[in-house]
Amino acid sequence: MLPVVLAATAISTAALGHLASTDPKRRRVFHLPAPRRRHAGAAWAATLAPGAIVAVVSGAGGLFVWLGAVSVIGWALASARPRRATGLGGMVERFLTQTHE
Amino acid sequence: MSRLSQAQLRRLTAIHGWSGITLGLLLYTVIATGTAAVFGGEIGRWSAGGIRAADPLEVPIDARIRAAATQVDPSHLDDIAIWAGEGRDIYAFFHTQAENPGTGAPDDLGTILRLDATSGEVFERNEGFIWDQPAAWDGSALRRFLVDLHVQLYMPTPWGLIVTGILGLAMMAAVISGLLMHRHLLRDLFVAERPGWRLVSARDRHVLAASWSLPFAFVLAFTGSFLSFASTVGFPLLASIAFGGDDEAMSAALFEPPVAEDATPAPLADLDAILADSRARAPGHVTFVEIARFGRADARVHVWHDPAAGGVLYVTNLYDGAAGTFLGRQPQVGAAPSVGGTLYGLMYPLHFGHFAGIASRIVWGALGVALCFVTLSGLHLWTRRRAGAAVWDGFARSVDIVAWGLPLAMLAAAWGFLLSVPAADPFVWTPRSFVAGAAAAIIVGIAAPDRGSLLPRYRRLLGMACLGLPILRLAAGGMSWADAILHRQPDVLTVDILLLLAGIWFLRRRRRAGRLALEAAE
Repeated sequence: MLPVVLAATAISTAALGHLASTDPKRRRVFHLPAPRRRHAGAAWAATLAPGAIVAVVSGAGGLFVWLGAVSVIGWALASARPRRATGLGGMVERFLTQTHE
Repeated sequence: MSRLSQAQLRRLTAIHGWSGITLGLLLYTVIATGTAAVFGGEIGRWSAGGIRAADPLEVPIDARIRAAATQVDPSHLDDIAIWAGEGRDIYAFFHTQAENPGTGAPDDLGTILRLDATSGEVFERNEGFIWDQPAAWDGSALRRFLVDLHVQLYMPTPWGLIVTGILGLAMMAAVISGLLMHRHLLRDLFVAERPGWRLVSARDRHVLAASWSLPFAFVLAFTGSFLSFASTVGFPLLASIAFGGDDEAMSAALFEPPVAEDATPAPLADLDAILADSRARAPGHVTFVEIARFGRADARVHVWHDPAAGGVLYVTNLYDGAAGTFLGRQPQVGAAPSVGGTLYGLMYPLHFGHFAGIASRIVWGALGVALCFVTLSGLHLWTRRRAGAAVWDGFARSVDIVAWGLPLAMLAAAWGFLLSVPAADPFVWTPRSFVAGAAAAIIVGIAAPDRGSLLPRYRRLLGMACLGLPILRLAAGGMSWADAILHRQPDVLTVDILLLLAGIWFLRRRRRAGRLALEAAE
């Protein structure tokens, strides 16, 4: 169960990192230029789809763990201010921000 | 998100704010201790555990239970409850029902033995109404205290449970009113705290944490409230309405399949064979075994298991005690599986968060931290909006004192526990130490000249308290790191290392103190 949940959480984290780094209001608030492309629908699908896979492969237990992990990681990613983010979330955010600016 | 009139919005804001202000500090206490209680197993083994090669309920116990049964009053053989201790020990509670003179209600009266599951040696023996004597059935006074503080704020039953149930309802009210108040939940989902330490920054911080933890805040509040009210209000009401006040009839209807009475003496089937068969049917760890009517033809054996990988619900297998045959899987409630039974069964794992081992406990612990943050940031936001008014400035300082004083008092409880283990009663000194720690935190908070100077003081105290605990544990005769590594006891080592890291982090991290000083100045 755990490897599937970890892999799904990693994919969701990357997608959330993209959503955070390209979020229009967040960028406006921090005086950053608007990103050229966002693909919000696809990013949200990439965030949530791993949950469906976890539910099928790892059952309800895995789904709850993934959901809890995504909630906490999402909060951590969103809390990190642009350009000051550190760790994995920061790396993902910096990479995606540079890609989309 | 929601379309509310200004008047409705004002009312909701008042409900959200005032419920938070009046109950927020108690709610924070319940959430913070609950976050610690998620790791109750680890805390128990860290504080009171011995070396063990396997879970004591995974080794043969049949001979131990039969030998123990010969050492107790035959009237106590009505029911035997068996569960694992913190090391190689198991608890076997031989009991019957009798009226407890202390409460005037039926209670479990019997003999409890703490046995070495491997050798059968009896470590401890206690008799009487055992649930009144926590030291008889829990090896760790520290874990027991933290759990009691979470479950009923260390108040007498049932009042503590009613208070925590009300706190759960208040938290649900805050979640729902917060959801309705926040019109741009999705739009603000990635807006980090704005720089400048302005009022809007405090709002951003609260809204962001609350938005991300919203579903779990509701689940944890609902399940917590349910668990608090189930035994104090729900079941007594049900017994009164549907069973004419007969608690035993209700319990039999809800949790025990009917058994035709047969008092013919009959030896219990091989318990180890029953447990092996149960493990084959339910792969989760065995957590609890109950033998009803030991030595009779109508004996029944219930075996409780942790959920299997990917599952959430606990599993209970039922066996004919005399024949040793499998009778079926016991539904969560009633005689047949039902939606209501499943929902009831979900309450425990979703609240405790230990359905998927350490992975779910880490996630639930992190969610607990997030909810602590939501509660405190909400209180800070409220006081920030009213800064300058003496009463709210005083309240803001109280929030800081409780926010930092509670973890300090919990660490003081751990100090008191470890100091008292060699020579005194930890069940007395652990709560006293918590009170002493809380008093010290309050004195430090009141004595500080301003709010800005509070944080560095608390950080220093927390850092020193964390760093000292592993050393104190070793000095008090706890398991050495060499033994922990040699015998693969990860809990002890992990908790020690986390405490050391936390201690270093508290002592090194001073950066935010300046910001708090700025807030106080504003």
